Amino acid sequence: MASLAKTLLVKAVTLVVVLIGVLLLLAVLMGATGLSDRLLQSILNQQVRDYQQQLLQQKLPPDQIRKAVEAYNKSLAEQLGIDKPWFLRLPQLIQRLLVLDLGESRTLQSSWGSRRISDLIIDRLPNTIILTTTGIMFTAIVGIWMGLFIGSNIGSRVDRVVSVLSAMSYAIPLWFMSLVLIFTLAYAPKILWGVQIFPPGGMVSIPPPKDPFAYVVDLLWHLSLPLLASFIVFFGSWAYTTRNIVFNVSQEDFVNFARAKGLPEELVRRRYILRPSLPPILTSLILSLATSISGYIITERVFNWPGMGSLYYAAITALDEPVIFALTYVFTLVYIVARFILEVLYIVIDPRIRLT
Amino acid sequence: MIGEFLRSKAGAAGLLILLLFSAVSVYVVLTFPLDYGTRYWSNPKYWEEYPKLVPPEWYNYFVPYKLPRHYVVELSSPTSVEAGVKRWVFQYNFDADKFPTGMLFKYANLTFYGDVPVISLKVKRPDGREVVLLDYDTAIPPPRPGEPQPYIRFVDSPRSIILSVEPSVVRKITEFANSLGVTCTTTEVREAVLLPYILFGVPQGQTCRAESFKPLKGVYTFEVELLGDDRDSVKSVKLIIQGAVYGAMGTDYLGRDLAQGLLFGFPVALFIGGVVAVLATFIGMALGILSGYIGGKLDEGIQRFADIMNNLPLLPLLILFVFVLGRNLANIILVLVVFGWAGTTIIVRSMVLSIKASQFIESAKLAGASSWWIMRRHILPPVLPYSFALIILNVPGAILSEASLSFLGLGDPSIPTWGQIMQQAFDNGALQNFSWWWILPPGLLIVVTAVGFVLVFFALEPIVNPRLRRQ
Repeated sequence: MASLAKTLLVKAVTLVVVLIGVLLLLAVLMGATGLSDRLLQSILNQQVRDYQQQLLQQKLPPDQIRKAVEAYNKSLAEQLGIDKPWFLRLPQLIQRLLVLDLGESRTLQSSWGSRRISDLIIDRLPNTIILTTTGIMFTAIVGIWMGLFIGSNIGSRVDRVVSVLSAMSYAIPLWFMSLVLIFTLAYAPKILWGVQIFPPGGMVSIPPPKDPFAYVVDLLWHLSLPLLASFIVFFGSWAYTTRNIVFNVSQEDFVNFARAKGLPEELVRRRYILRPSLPPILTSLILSLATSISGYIITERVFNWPGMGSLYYAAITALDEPVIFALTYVFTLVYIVARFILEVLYIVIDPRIRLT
Repeated sequence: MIGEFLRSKAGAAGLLILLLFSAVSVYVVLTFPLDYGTRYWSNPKYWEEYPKLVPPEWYNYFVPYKLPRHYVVELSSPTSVEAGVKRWVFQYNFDADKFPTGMLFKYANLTFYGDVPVISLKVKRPDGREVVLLDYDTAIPPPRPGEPQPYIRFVDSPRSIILSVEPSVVRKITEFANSLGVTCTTTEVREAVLLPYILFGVPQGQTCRAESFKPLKGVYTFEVELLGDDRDSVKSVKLIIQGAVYGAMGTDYLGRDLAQGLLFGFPVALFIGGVVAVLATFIGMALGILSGYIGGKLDEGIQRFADIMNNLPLLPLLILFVFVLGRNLANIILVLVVFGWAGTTIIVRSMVLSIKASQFIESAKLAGASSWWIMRRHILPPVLPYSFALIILNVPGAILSEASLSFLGLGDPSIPTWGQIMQQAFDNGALQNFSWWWILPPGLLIVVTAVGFVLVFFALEPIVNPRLRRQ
């Protein structure tokens, strides 16, 4: 038991090191290219100019204005940290992030006008969970179930179809499939026959329905195309991966031995094949759920879905440095937490790890 | 081995795609200038004459009506010369069921000796009516004081008149519409671009809109007249009637010929995919061999790092890096390589581990071979074929990543790529306008390229990976 705790501790420490590493990398990237300085300088200049305008309107003597502006410039520069070089400024930011103090954005606002980054995330995260996380869950569960089924029917027609689908899912980006679906199922019927079968984008109709039941129906209607796209693209790869894992396990000697012993096929399948297949399947499932938090940046853009992916993209185009940092940190953090949960889960579900 | 590869139908199909695409790329590299992107593609002036946002010509085979084709005729010598009058005559046979999308009138190298000559354009319609579109061109700069004769104008850039927005032409065509019994104002005509409808149509109603007109088929005779001194001349006169279909792949909102942009995308996609895959696989292989053979702390370190890199949410990081470093081809390739080696490392390491356990390594060690020698002479050769297959697997990944970046507007602006064409289409409402020829082909090309590489990899894998060899 003590050795187990030690292994877990080592894993935890490595993961935290990775987290800090990613943040450091970002800090160096933003600092060494001068981007961070340029950003702050432009904010500083803007605010000082505003302040100067304000003073000029009060018709004060020019000498006094100049002095006041200089003082303001100095205090603001100190406040923004631009009087120090980037490598002194950014570690502070990293330290703040590590204790989950995400700070405030420069320009981006949540739907209720707050500029706190944690509010921004609270605003967007549920939308992303509705879109990507449910999409992955749904696709993965159907795919895994299918994979378990064909894993014991290798070479059947279904098996061949799934192999082709999995090759497809490697070659078709989700956002392109989304575009095609929007084009053929949302715009084409609208333009050619004048019927709106599926909505072309957005999360709810504008204006959103008042009645909660109607609201949910409307949301599901808007969710249908993204879900369909993600199902078409990812179903094949889930089924194929599961099939391979199950197939590899069923080739093992202990499975043959169990059959040779005369155990009923159902028991062999359940206890000797499915059980050892569980850890790798669980790994892919949990890791994709963790990465889904970063949203499908492009797909959210295509569907005009206000999730984390769009937020990240907006932060980048608006050059909102604190948001970029905080989001990258949150994405990495979620991933790292997921990795740690996995390490613990392995111990629970895989006796081979527990007993060595 | 080649026979074994070709026996798989999927592999042969993939190989066919790749050969075809490579052939197209070679053709493009040989025929297109290298600065095609900056010189032509992103230069709106170059595409001025082309019809804007029209489907490809073969679209006519799929619709019950006929869309007019693009008409361009350039005359260098006058059709008839009389005393003081030179005349250029164009015959346009209009036989389509829909209207052209616009008209341009161009001339270059105007030479005159005395007063500014009068250049006019009129058209005779099949129903016998005559419309004067332009009675004189006001944009010819008069002689400067002291300028020697002859006066030469419009040498470097020809005089180009876009008829549907030129105020004097709009006024004339509005008068003509009124004489046909359609109540239009000049503002309405200019804003709804009604010129082609009025010029090539007969009115069915009185309201001022495109639907009020029905095409009038037949031969239209356009006459350009130059009235002035006998020596006055124009080197070339050009009449462009922009069609409603164009070329093999249609045009985009700037009138750019999409066939050219898509063609240029072939070598770019293969180049980016190839360079990234080769570099990333090479780095991954080297690290994998080191990690697997040396083992210990180094192995632990490399594997942890690779494991994390392989699973981190990559797209946000890719976007961030390209955004910060700048949108150019070298940076995109660099970032894709930096984030692309990890998968290869993990696979190669596991292969090296099984090779390392074999007896020939043991005997090489006993014979006193150095680690470097063993890695180079005994580990590398068996790993190489599979690494080659991995290069092929990594190509579509790189192509798709580049397309994703381009689609977010982070592509290299000086080089047209398929992803960028899609981004422009998406941002300029290709979905809403139902411009399928603009937004779908680049995406399909991306997918077909990726499918080609994936198929080849699937066929190659069992051959180069001994463990997967069929018994």
